[in-house]
Amino acid sequence: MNKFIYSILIITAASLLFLSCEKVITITPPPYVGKVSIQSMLEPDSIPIVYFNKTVPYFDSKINFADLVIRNANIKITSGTTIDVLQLDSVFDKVYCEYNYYYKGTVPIQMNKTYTLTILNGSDTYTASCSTNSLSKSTIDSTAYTANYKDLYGEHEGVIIYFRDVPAQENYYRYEMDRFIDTATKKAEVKIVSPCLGRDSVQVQELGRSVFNDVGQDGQQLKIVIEPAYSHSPGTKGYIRIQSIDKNAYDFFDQLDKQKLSQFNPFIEPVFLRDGQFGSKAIGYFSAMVKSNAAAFIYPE
Amino acid sequence: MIKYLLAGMMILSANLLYAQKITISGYVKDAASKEALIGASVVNANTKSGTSTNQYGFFSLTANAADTIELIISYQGYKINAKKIAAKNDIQLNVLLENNTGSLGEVVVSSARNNRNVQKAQMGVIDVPLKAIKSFPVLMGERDVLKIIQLLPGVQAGQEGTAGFYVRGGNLDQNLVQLDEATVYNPNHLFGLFSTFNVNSINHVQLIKGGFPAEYGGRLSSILNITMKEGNKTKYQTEGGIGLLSTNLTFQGPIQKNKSSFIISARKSHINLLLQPASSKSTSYSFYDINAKMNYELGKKDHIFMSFFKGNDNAGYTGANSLNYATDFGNTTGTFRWNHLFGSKIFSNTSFIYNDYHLGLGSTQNNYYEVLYTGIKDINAKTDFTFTPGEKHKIKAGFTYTYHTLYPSSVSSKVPRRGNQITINKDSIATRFSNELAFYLSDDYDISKTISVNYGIRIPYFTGGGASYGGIEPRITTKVSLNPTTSIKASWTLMNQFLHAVPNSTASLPTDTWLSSSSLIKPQKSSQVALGLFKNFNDNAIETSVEAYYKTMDNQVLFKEGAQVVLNTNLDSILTFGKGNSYGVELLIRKNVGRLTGWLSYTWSKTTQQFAELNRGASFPAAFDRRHNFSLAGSYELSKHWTFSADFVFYTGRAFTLPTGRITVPVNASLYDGVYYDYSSRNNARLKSYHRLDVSFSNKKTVKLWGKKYEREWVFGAYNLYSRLNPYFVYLTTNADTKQPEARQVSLLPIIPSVSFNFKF
Repeated sequence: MNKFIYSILIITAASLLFLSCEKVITITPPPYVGKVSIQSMLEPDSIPIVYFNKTVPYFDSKINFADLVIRNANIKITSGTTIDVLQLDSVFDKVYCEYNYYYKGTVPIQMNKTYTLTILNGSDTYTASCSTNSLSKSTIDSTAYTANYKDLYGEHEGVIIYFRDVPAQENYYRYEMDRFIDTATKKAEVKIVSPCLGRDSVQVQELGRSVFNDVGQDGQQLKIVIEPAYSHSPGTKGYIRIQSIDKNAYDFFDQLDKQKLSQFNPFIEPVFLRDGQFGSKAIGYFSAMVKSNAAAFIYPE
Repeated sequence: MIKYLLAGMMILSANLLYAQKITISGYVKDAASKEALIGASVVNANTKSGTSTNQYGFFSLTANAADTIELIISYQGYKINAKKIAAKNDIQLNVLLENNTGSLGEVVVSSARNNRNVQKAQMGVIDVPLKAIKSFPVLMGERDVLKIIQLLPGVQAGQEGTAGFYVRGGNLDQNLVQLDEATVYNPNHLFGLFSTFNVNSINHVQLIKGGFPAEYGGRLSSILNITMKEGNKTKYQTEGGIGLLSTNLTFQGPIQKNKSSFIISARKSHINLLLQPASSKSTSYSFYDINAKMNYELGKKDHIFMSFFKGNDNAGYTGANSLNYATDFGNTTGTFRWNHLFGSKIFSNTSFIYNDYHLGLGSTQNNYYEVLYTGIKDINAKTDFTFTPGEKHKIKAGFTYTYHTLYPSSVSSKVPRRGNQITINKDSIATRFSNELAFYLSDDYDISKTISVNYGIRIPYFTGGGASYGGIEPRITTKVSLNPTTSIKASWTLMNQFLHAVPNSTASLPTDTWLSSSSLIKPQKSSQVALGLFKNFNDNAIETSVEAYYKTMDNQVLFKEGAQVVLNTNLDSILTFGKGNSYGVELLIRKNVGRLTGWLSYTWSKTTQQFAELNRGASFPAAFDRRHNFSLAGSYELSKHWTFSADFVFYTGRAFTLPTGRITVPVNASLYDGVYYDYSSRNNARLKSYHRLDVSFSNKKTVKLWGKKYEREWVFGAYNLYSRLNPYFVYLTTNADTKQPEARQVSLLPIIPSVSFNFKF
C-alpha cells in the first residue's frame, strides 16, 4: 500500500477517535404537569411577602419573572381574627435586570403568633401554617475571613461566623449579609457584571446557600464558613446576620442546596424536590424567621 | 426442595455404581498443535448418547460394552472424526481433529453435526466461535472478544466508549469475567473500546447468562469464561499483527514435544505516536497486555498449567467540555492449575489463583472533578471434581475459597481556584478484608432419551465488614426433546453476590467503585427463571432459539440522591438499597457452517429498579434498560483468499434523568441563580437510538519469504460506516445569549477506517 495513503489513513482515524463531537439537540421531554411555586418567609415587624409563581416545562422559553408570576391569585394571611389580603407588587431587580413580582401584605408580622397562608388560584387552593412562637435569636460572637477554605463546594474564600446556638431547642440557621455593590462588582459564580447596576451602588442581601442545624451541638458555639456571592475589595463593608429559620424552610433550602450541587457537579446523583407543606401540587415553603443582631464585617482583601 | 435435591442425587449416584459399563475417556485435541479443544462433541453413534469435552479437552463417556462402538467427534471449524473402536473394557482415547481450513472445501457428515445446543440440559449458554472473533469487523484494526459478546442475545452493550456489557438486566458488576479461572474486574482497554484479551492467545470463549451450573457463583447475571491457549506442543510458531492502535506478537511452542508447551503473547499500543501530530500534549494513551502460559503433562493422569496475565492502561484526555480525564487501571492475574485423573471416571482440577485490579481515575467535568481509586486483590483456592458414574450421569462437586482485599476511595469537589486538587494516597486508603467460601454439588442426569435435567446446589458463605452471610442456591435446568432437532428447556437459579460496584448514574465515565458486603451492605440476590425453545434446521447447520426470562434482584446498590463523597466519607453511609427486576425475550438464529456464517439476534427486554429513597419510592427504568436490542453479524468467504464481514447493531437509547420542569426561586440574586429542576421521575428520558454498521474485508494468503512459507493477512475495515453520530451522553446547559436552557449531545466515534496486517509462521 502506498505509504502516504496509509499514513493519512492512520492519522485520520486516530484523530477521529480522540475528537468527540458536540451539538445542541432537541429533546422531546416527557409531558410535564405544571406546579406552582410558593415562597414566603415571615419576619416579625416586617410586612409579609409571598412569591407565587408557576413552574414551566424545562425547555419552555418563559424565563422571566414577568412570565412566571401568577397574577390573579387571591392570597391572604390570617392570624386569629386578623386577615391580611396581599396584593401583587413588583420591584426592579438591578442584579437580575428585570422586574421581580410578589404579593405584599399590609399588616406587620408579630412574635408569638401562628399564621395561616391561603392561596386561591382558580379552582386550586393552597394552604399552610407557620408560627413565630419558637424562634429565638442567636448571638454572633465574632467573624473572620479566610482566603482558602475547602468544603463540598471545593476550595474558595469564605466569611467565617462564630455564633451561639440557642440551647434546649432544635434550631436551624441561615446566613445573611447586607451590603452595597456597584458596577465593578461581579457575581462570584458567573463573573458577570449586571448591565443594570448603573452608577449608583445597590443594596443586596446575600443569603448563604447552605442551611445549618444544631444537631449534636446544642447550646454550643457554631462555626460556619460562607462563600461570598459577589466580588469585593479591601475595605468592602457588610452587615452579617444569622437567620433562625423554622424546619420547613430548612428542609426546603437544604434540598435546593443539594440539588444545586448535583446540577453543577456531574458526579452527584440528581436530587428530587420532595413534597412539602403544600403537598404534591406546589413546591415551596411558608415559614418564619428571626434575625440575630447585625455584626459589621470588613473584607480584608 | 433442597432436601429432596440432595437425597435424589445421593440415591442416584449410589445406584449407578453397580451398573456394568465401560468407560471411554480421553482428550480431544487439535491435530496440528495438540491444543485442547474445549466443548468438542463426543457422541456414541450406537446409542446417540454423548458428552462434550471440558475446559481441558477431557471427556469421559460411559457405554455398554460392545464389539464395536462408533464414536463421532466433532468441533466447529474442524473436520469430523468418526472412530470405530472395540469396546469391551475401559478405553483411554485421545482424538485429534484436523482444522477445516476454510469452509469452501468443507465436507460434513450432516447427521453428525453437533446438536448439543438442542440436546443438552443447559440453556442461556453461548459458545462464541473463535472463527467469528477472528473474522468479524474490527475497530481500528483490533479484533475483540467483548465486541462479539455484545452482539449476542440478552447482552446489551455499554455506552460507546465505556464498553462493558449488561446481561439480562444486570449491572456491569454482575458479570464474572474469568481468564483461566482468574477474575478480571475490568476487562477493557482504551476507554473500553475493546477488551484486554488478546485474540491470538485465546482458545475458547463461553458466555453463561442463565441456567447457571452450580460450579459458578458470586455474580447475579453472567459468567464469561475465557480460556487461554496452552501453546503448540509440536512446533514453534510465531504470529502477530500491526494495526492502527497496537502491535501484537505471540510466540508458542513445545518445551518438551507433545508433553509440554508454552505460549507468550504481548500487545503494546502505539497510539501516542499517531496522536502527536493530531492532538494536544494533554491527550495521550498507552496500554499493554501480556499473556503467558505453560503446561506440563506429568504423566497420563496429571497435568499442570501455569498462566499469567497483566494488562494496564494509562491515559489522559482533553476533549469536549465534559470529557477531561486521566486514568490508570490494570489487572494482573496468575493461575496455577493441576488436573488429576482418578481412574477414568473422575477428573479433578485444583487451582490457586491470584488477581490484582486497580483503577485510578481523575475526571473533570463542568468545572467539578472527581478522583477515585478502587482496587481489589483476591487470593483464591478451589478444587473441582467431575465424576461420570454411568451413561446417564455426570456429577460435579467442589469448593472454592477467596480472600478479598478491597481498597475503595473517592473524592469529588469543585475545581479549586488556586492550589491543587485533592489527591488520593493509595497507601492511606482503609482496606476492607473479606472471605468468601462456597461448596457445590450438581448432577447432569439424562432421565430418558428425551428428558434430561441438570440440577444442583451451591452453598456460599461470606464473612467481612462485621457481618456474615450464607445462602443456599438451588439450580435446575430441564430439557425435553421433541425430536432430534427440537427441544424445550426451562431453568431456575438463585444467586448471591458479595462484591458490589456502585455505579454513578450521572457521570459519563466509568466511575464504579467496588465494595464488599458488610453489616450495611447486604449481598445482592437474584432469582431467575427461563423458558426456551431450541430448534436446529438444515441438518443442524442453522441453530435457532427463543428464550424468555424473568429475573428479580434484591439488595441492589446505588448512591443516595445528592450524595457527594469527600475524602473521609464512609462510602457505606451514602448508599441506598433497593430491588430490581428484568424480563425479556431473546431470539437467536445462527449459521455455523458454509461460506456464509453469522447470526441474527434480537432481544426485547425491560429492566426496572425500585428504591425507597430514590424517585420518591416509585419504580423506574434502570439506566441500562434498553427495550430493543438487535444485531446482525455475518462473514462471507468471497473466494479462497478474500472474506467480507459486516455487523449491524441497533439499540434503544439509554435512559437518563431529565428535569421536566423549571422552578424559579427568588433568592435575592444570591450565590447561585434561582432556577431549580422539577424531576418527574428518574431515568425518564432516552438518548437517541444507537445504530451502527461496521464492515471489513480481509485477504489471507500463504506466501514465501526468504524461501519460507508464512501466512499473511491484510484487513481493511470501517467502523460506523455511515458515520452515525450516536449519543454518548447529553448534558444540560443555558445558552449564554438567549438564556434559554438547552440540551447538548456529545458523540464519540464517527466513521473510523482501519487497516491492519497480520502474519503467522
